[in-house]
Amino acid sequence: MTKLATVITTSLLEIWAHKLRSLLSFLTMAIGVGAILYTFAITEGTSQRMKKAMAIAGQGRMEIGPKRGGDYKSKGLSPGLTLNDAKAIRSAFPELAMVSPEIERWGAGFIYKDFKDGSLAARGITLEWAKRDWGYTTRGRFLNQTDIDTAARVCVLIEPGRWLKKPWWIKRWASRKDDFNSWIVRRDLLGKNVIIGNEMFLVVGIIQEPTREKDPRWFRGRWSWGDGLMPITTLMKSVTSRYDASDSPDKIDSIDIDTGNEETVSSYRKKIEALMRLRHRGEEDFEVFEYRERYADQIAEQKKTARATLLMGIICVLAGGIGIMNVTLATIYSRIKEIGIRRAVGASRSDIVLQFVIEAMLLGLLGGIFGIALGLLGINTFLKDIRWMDIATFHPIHFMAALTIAVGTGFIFSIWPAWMAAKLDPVEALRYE
Amino acid sequence: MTLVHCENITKIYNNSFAALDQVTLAIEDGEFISIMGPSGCGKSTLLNILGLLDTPTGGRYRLEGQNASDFKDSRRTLWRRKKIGFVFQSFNLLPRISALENIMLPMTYNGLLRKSAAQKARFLMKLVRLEGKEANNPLQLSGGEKQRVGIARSLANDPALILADEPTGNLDSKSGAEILELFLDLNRQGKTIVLVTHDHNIAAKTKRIIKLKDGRIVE
Repeated sequence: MTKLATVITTSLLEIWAHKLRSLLSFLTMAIGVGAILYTFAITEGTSQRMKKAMAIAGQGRMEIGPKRGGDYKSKGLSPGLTLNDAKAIRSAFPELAMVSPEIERWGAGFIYKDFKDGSLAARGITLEWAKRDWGYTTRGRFLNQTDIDTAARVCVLIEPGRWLKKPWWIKRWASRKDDFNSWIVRRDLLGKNVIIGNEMFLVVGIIQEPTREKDPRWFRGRWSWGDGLMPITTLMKSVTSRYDASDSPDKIDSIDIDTGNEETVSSYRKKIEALMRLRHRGEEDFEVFEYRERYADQIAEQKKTARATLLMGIICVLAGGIGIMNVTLATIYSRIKEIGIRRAVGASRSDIVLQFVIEAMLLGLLGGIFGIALGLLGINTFLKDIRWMDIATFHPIHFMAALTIAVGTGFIFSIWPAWMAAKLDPVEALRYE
Repeated sequence: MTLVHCENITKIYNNSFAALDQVTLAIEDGEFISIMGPSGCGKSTLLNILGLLDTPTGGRYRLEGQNASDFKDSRRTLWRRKKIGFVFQSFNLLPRISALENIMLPMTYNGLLRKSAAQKARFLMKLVRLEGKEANNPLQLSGGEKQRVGIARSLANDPALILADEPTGNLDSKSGAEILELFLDLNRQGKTIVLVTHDHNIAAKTKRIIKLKDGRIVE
């Protein structure tokens, strides 16, 4: 133990005596360790976030939409995705937790007195819409069955969730201070008449999203410039809000389904696909995708990025290791005489090896500590603004792994030079000037 | 008791140059021997072999009755640590650590606890009359003081044999005389000392003088 303490003291003295050289040698290492730590934190954070989002969205979610890719040409047999499809699914499987058809009209346009906004999305929905991951607080009322049945000109506006603490990039990004989202939070439109897509609607309710920090749905990439919900029947009648007047007035954009249970998704998917094919007279003009798949895709995407960062980190750590090796060699060459003296007064070969290996490991440790600082700094700089997403999750094990990698690299890359030093002939070494 | 017994020790470099040629030498416990001879006569080589830093290419070297010429590196290191003390002409102190820590070095390699090593090193500093300079860096010491530290270091593990290679070579005559006095003191206390020197005055004070020439003992 005494020996080890002495060795460590000597090493620290030596490192301190060559501050710049030591710093340079572990800088690369530090960058690598930082990158590795960053990767660990993000990978962990992402998967946790996904799980949370999955749990909130509902376990058995899937969505039916028109065939994507745009090159599908109907043979004229299928009427396309219609409200009746949703009704058919609902009556065939009454046990489903949610069958929610929806029409989306992006950029429908919104006017209230002298405020105009062209980017509001009008969403035609049924009451089933509310069965999804509901986290809203309501003022006024939500839509009701009478609204749907009578295609009433009423709407419910979504007030965006507020920030507990607004990240700076949001402030900079959302440079439009006059957009719908920032406008509506400062108004109470309940009971007012507004114009959406050239038609007058009565605002019967306003639902407010939870604060952004607490809304893990956010990561699903749902970004909107403002939403107005209205009865699907109303939107279907409103010709002006459709892009293409030749479309069937029955046509809808999607059907959101929740089986209520993750295990039943696959079996219901098959049944629903069969039903849909039947209704579409054999045309495969629709597409079903499960939320699970979407999460899996996103996780895979994240993992790809993480792997690239990790690879970079490993390369940096290896480069750092070579740097440490280089410094160890330089140290040895500048201390040949010292090696001779130590051997003469009784240092064994393993003492010499220990001396240089410990010194390199300390360099690695310093690099590791530096790297952790760098990694935290990186996470703070690049991810601070999205911290509400819990994107970076730390585990003590990440720090330990990062340090172990750093120290281990110092060890591995110094063994050979240290052994070379130990093998020096003491007589030669003593004579060296 | 015969401490050192050399039988026909030969050291040949590069298969041609014989630094030592059939040297036979016995050193008794408690002797004070000086080795003299011109430069390149093999004095230092002999000292290195005696100190287990170097191995002879021929002959047999017995230390305390054991055949040390057959020792492997690890055993030679162990014996060098426990039984040999080196004193060098150029002192060979480590410049970055204090005088006290220089003296402690052989003891830490010997596995002594830091506290007891420091205690003993302090005692040795007193022995070589260097009290008060414990914390000094070797660079802050005079030549004579450095050599005292060197001697104290050589005594660290109570060696059976002290080997000094021109210990006064880099010192002025006054410091040189003081160092010699120290060696004589140590010898009186029973230490076996082998001292390489060019200085006849110094050699004259030792009990036995061995003259080397071209790798052979001539006297």
